[in-house]
Amino acid sequence: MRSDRLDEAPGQDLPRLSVPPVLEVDGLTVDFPSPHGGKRVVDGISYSIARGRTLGVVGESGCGKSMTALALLGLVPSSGRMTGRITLNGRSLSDLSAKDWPDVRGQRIALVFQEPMTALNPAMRIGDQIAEVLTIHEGLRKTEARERAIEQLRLVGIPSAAERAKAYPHQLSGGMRQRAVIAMALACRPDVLIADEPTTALDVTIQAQILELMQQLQDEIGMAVQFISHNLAVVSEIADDVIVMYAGQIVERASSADLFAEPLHPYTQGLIETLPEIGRAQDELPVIAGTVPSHYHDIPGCRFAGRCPKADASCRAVAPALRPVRLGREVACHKVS
Amino acid sequence: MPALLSVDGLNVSFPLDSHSLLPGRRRVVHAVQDVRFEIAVGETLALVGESGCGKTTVGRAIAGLGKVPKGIVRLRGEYLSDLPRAQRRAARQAIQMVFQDPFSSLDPRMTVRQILQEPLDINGIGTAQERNARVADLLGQVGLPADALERYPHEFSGGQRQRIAIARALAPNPALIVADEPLSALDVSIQSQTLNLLQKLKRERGLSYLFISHDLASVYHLADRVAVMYLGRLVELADRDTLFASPRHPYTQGLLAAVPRIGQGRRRRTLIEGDLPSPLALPSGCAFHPRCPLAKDICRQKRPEMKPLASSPAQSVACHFAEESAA
Repeated sequence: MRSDRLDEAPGQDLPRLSVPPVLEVDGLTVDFPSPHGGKRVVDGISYSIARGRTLGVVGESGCGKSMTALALLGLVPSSGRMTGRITLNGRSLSDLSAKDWPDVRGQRIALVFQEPMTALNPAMRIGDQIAEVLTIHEGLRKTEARERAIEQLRLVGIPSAAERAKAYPHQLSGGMRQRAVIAMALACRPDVLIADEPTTALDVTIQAQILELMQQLQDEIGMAVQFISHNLAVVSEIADDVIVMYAGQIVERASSADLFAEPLHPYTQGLIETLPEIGRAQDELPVIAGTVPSHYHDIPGCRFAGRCPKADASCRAVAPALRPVRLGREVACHKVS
Repeated sequence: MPALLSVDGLNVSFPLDSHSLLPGRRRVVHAVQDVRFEIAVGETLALVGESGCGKTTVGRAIAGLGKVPKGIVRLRGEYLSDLPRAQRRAARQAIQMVFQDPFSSLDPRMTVRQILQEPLDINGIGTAQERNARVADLLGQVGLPADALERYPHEFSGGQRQRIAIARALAPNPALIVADEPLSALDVSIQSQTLNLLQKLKRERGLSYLFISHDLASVYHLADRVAVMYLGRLVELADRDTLFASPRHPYTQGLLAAVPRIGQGRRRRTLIEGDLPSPLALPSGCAFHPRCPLAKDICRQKRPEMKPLASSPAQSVACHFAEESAA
């Protein structure tokens, strides 16, 4: 799969839709049934990501963005039920048996978590952890894997990589640990990298370093990236395209440039307006009133209607579908024409 | 404006290996060194910097939590450390704290009423009846419904819990609130609600804040003046507009450049390289020199003093090249 690399440099200049998507998600739904009615955490979401592109997934806690990531890795908790189609390079993952998942997970689709300290084994040297990935997935011999691990640490900008490979996670700084996690995730040159809040636990200067590193590695390796974050500014800087999630559903989809220049959904508008901004003094920040409803499953109409300044009776009665409104843009709102 | 709080020569250090029998092996982390600033009545001073820079330790020292710091802390001109015990407690009422995580800062077994009443009881404020009325009033001030009083913290969302924590801080009628990352555990849409609440309370009650944060956009929104900390020392202090428009310390410049902003698109970032050095082995001279793009020999040898700029005396910078490094 590595051989199908395109001649064009992946990155921002790539025209839309010119490359077939690596990852396609169609009608993904994750339910957690319970005697009291259960909860639909992800509700019929569809998207695709092409090689070398970055899809930003934004939304507040509980919107379903992290569960989407787990579904892509076959890691939905056993109490949950997943339906819908996930296709990687044309191969369906939805009916993959537990036995076949390890060929995909960590090899073709890799994950970087928010908190590097919990993602790493505290009792194992960094180099060995990366080498383990390579022995399991690529069948490398120990010495070979160890050399590749050091190479991998060098790739993510860890100085004196050969020595750092012998360090335990607690001996590294937060930024270095996250670099090590990225090194591990990219060890098998995956087709898709899922990054779930990868810089949220880091300081701003380290966050900038990690974002820079991820872009540079994407240019080199060409993987598709699904970048999940609640931080809109970070997403605006790293994503090519963005989906905005609210209460388990996608409410808006657009290119990053369009979305942040002119958000269409009232929720997206609210999210952006509500952010304090350096250089713009304000007495009071605009707010999105209220909080995310916890029992949104019973809401017949738009799930955002209760907090929306534009909502009327029809919004509360009929749920809006995600529909194209202009070139490359989709919105789930009755009020957008 | 008269200074409400003034801090001079604040030092906090933590001994490590204190059980070691070899005196030579006893190491000390100098978490805060020689920190000096003032906060005026009704003013918000933001303290910014990265994790481990000592900003939380400064906040705790001022709020009287943890180790007794070395140095001078004056409240309305009175030395806090010189006051007799009883008076010190009364003075301490004037300084209250709001913590980062409202999930761990509220006792899960106390009702909201008990949480809000505890500081009144401890400080012996008012009669029983007055306390009751005051608790209800506090709840209203932070925008929570009256029926919240008999409920427990777990029944509330993160944003509502932070409001409860703010109400608790307001209970003894403080003049200064030390707010340590009060927004970082909250969702985006809840952060702005909380920022507005802090602003409103400041306007209505003439409160002062020491706002400790790593989020520079919130700092810009809330602060009147900003102090930047690096490895235990202040490196720059100026009023908000000056600091954001013309930062003079290379660290402040790098910090501001690293802040992600909407509307920039994918960009190449100008980066501060490397990591924070270990506080156990502070670099010689200027602690920032290993990461500084401007570092020269003098920076490795001599620690720059924090001093006002000749060209802009309200801006203090600890850099040998501050006068030249206008961004």
